[in-house]
Amino acid sequence: MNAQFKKGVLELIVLESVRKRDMYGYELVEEVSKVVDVNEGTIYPLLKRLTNEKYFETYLRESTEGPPRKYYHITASGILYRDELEKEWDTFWQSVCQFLKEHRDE
Amino acid sequence: MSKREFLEELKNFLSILEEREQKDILDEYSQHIEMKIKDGMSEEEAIRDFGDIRELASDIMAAYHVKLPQEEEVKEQEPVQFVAEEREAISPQEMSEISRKDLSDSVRKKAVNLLAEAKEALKRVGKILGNGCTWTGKKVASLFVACGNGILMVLKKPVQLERRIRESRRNQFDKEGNRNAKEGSFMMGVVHLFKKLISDVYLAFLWCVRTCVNLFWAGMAMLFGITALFALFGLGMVTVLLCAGYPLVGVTILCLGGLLVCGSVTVLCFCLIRRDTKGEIQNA
Repeated sequence: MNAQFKKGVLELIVLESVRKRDMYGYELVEEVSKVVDVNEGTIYPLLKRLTNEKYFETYLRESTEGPPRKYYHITASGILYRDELEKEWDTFWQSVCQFLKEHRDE
Repeated sequence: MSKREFLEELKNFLSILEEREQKDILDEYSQHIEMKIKDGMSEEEAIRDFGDIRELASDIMAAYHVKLPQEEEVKEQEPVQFVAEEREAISPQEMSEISRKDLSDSVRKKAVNLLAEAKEALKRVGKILGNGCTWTGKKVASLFVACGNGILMVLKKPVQLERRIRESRRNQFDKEGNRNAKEGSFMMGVVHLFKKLISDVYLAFLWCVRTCVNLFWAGMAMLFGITALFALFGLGMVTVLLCAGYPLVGVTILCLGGLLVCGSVTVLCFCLIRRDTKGEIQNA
């Protein structure tokens, strides 16, 4: 898939995944990979940025295997931001669909 | 490339960040690689999936580019020169570019944190005052509302003063922070101390406001309670006289009304006191 397409919606997918339940990095990469085929490296910087912008909070939790894992938890402003993104995304793809449809009909 | 090599190379790119941030990022990647290996992938493959390290590093650095409301102010403060001689990972030109970005970002980050804190604090004060205000509005006659608003106005003044003091302090601190941005660890200490001081002063202030409000409501409750008792006493007397045939219907109704009004105001005052204490517990 076009890399530019992915980049735009990645943020929304990550926010939505963490909204459902708190997740740690690797788990999140796997979850996102189900939807879009994405370079794993790009998820972590995104998480870092969303955390720096206070859309996520992090905490450590012990795991049965290996060192403690860093979990991401969405904040109230994160949820607001997600809703905003979803709205934007809806209007965006609808207008693109509309445009393509009109041209097909011509 | 082995995992150790990968992490070391990535660390070179991130060397301008704070030690703790670096460790945080590297831990995350090393954990990721370990999990991939556990899932049956070879070390080599796991690392190849990350793609170009330089690109990855620039993605990570971009994550520190925090947007700020007063962007212009920060831009002005942005240092023009930055020395990056000690480091030798990338070409000096590129290095200084990243460094500058990081430095301005660290200033921005601090400012954002402070802003967020100030906002939170103001929100809390607003909530406490707001609670009292809306409640009063719902329950009491317009006279009492006017009275309550007057008190709130008086209460708000010190809050505004406090806010102004805090803002001026913050501005002062931001400038200072920019000057000393290179001495990261020392600055962190000062920042911590300063933050603690401000929050202590703020908490003490908040406590005082709360106590004053509570004392005020308690006083009001006492006053109206005593008046209600007098009204009750009067009502009893007048009723007896009324039964004896005296023309005292008007006075009786007056006493009854006074009793109801004073009684309900007393109850309301007590309710307001309890609400405030609840808020205190929640905040604590």
